[in-house]
Amino acid sequence: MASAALSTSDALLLEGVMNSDERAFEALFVRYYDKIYSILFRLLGSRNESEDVLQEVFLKLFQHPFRSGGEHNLSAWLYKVALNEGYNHIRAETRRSNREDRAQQMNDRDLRARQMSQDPAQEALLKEKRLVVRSVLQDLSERHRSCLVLRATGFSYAEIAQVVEVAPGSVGTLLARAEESFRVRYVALNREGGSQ
Amino acid sequence: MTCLKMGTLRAFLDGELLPSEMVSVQLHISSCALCSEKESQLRETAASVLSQLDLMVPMPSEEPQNSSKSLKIWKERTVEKYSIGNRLMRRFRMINQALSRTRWRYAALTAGLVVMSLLVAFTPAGSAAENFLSVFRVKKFQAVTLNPSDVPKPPTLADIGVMEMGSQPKTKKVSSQAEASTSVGFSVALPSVLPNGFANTPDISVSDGTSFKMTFDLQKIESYLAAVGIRGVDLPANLNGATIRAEVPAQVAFSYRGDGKYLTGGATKSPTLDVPPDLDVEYLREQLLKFPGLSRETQAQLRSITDWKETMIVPVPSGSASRDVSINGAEGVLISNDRSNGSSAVLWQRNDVVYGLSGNVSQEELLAAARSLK
Repeated sequence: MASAALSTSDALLLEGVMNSDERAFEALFVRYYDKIYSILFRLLGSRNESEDVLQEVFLKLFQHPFRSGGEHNLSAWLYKVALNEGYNHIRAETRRSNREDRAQQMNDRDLRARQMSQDPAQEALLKEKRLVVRSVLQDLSERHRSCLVLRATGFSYAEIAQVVEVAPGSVGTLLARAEESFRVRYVALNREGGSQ
Repeated sequence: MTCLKMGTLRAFLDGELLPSEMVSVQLHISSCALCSEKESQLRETAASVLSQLDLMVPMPSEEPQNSSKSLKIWKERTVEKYSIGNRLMRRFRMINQALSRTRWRYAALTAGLVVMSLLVAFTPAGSAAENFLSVFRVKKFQAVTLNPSDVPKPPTLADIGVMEMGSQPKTKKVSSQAEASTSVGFSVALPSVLPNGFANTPDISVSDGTSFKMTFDLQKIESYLAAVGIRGVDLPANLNGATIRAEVPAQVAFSYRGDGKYLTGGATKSPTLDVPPDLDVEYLREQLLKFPGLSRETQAQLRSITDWKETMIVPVPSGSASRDVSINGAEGVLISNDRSNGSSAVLWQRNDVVYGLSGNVSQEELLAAARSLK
């Protein structure tokens, strides 16, 4: 499978990063950029925030003291960091903002700035819906949240198993439970927010 | 067949079972009302959750920017061009996380800094700029006046430990600026304005990079400190055998001749230094500032260094003067000695290349030449 060859050169590049080789780091950055962005966007629903958190993820890569010569599953590590950092960001934003003023919760200068947009009402609606999804995701357990985001991003069960660190055979169960949790929470939130 | 587990059904929905399993599950579902019902429910839930999650997908205007652009931002924002100082700090942080803050660690750093600064301090009079013991990636220079009487007997390398050179750098003459550039891997610049009487036919030579390793010998250091009467420095055992490694990249050197005068210069990509991970640079600085015997002037000069990791200390023997200069916007330092043969030297840095120029010409001529480099 293509990923086997890829992960070999991941190991080489990672070795390079540990030896402070700029180009190795840059190669990894470019290699994982799109995937990490996708994962983060699923969590955050906002371009600016996704870009911001992405920067943090790669900073963590840069700083992390991987043991040299060790077996590292770099992609699983990166995706896990992305999920963590994304979640931390959501939590921080939620804490920061006023519950009544949910519009502040999504730092989406892009959407606001685009005055030329076709339908501001539509945009506002989308943003509101995204905020709900984000809240639901925030309330899930880490494993459930990770499973859902990764699956939605197109990861296979095998890949999800590596990131979430469960047996591949358990992913189906985890996903089913995660979806049930999401559904329940979503309904509850909509009920709560309905009166607004 | 016993009824199917939820996990199996869910995997079936995603086609994540082995082909044979897919077939047998399908067969079972078509004959089992319960499992068929379960499967529908799972499918419905999965679909509705996915439709919510599909809201979290970029619209055309929310697509990620070009990864190179993001990388550029990352570099600018985060790491200040991967300076060696930051790489070192990264390693420090790693180790700092592991080590607890013990007294011996700070004492080790003190001793390390003292030794390092002594190494840097005492260069043969008049050639300060040419003596490169480079510390960190150089972005700035700070001249520090050191009076030999600050320390009664300067240490030699033998007093501190063992110095090993990686490989003998090979030097060769080249016949053109272009050839030099190819050799050293960066664009070599030469002065286009020369002092009166100078022929525009420089000798140019290049040498390839090399590295140095300095390994501290605790016994030797302790003996030295005792011999010069420096007390109060607590050297821990782990300083023994601690190694500092300096990488000196390829360099170019050129020289011009005039009427009994000379003008020489050189350039090198910023040298780098690897220090043992438990060397806390900030702390070292604090210790150095407390070192007995430093004159007020020296202390003030050292204290004025804010980017400790990016500043090369240029030792200036007393009797020489130094001042900050600007070379086409780059910060540099000019050192001149006031002996009768009046030589001066200027050092500056641009785009991670460190340049030096010196000669027994007037300061004005030297600066004009430096500013004309291209």
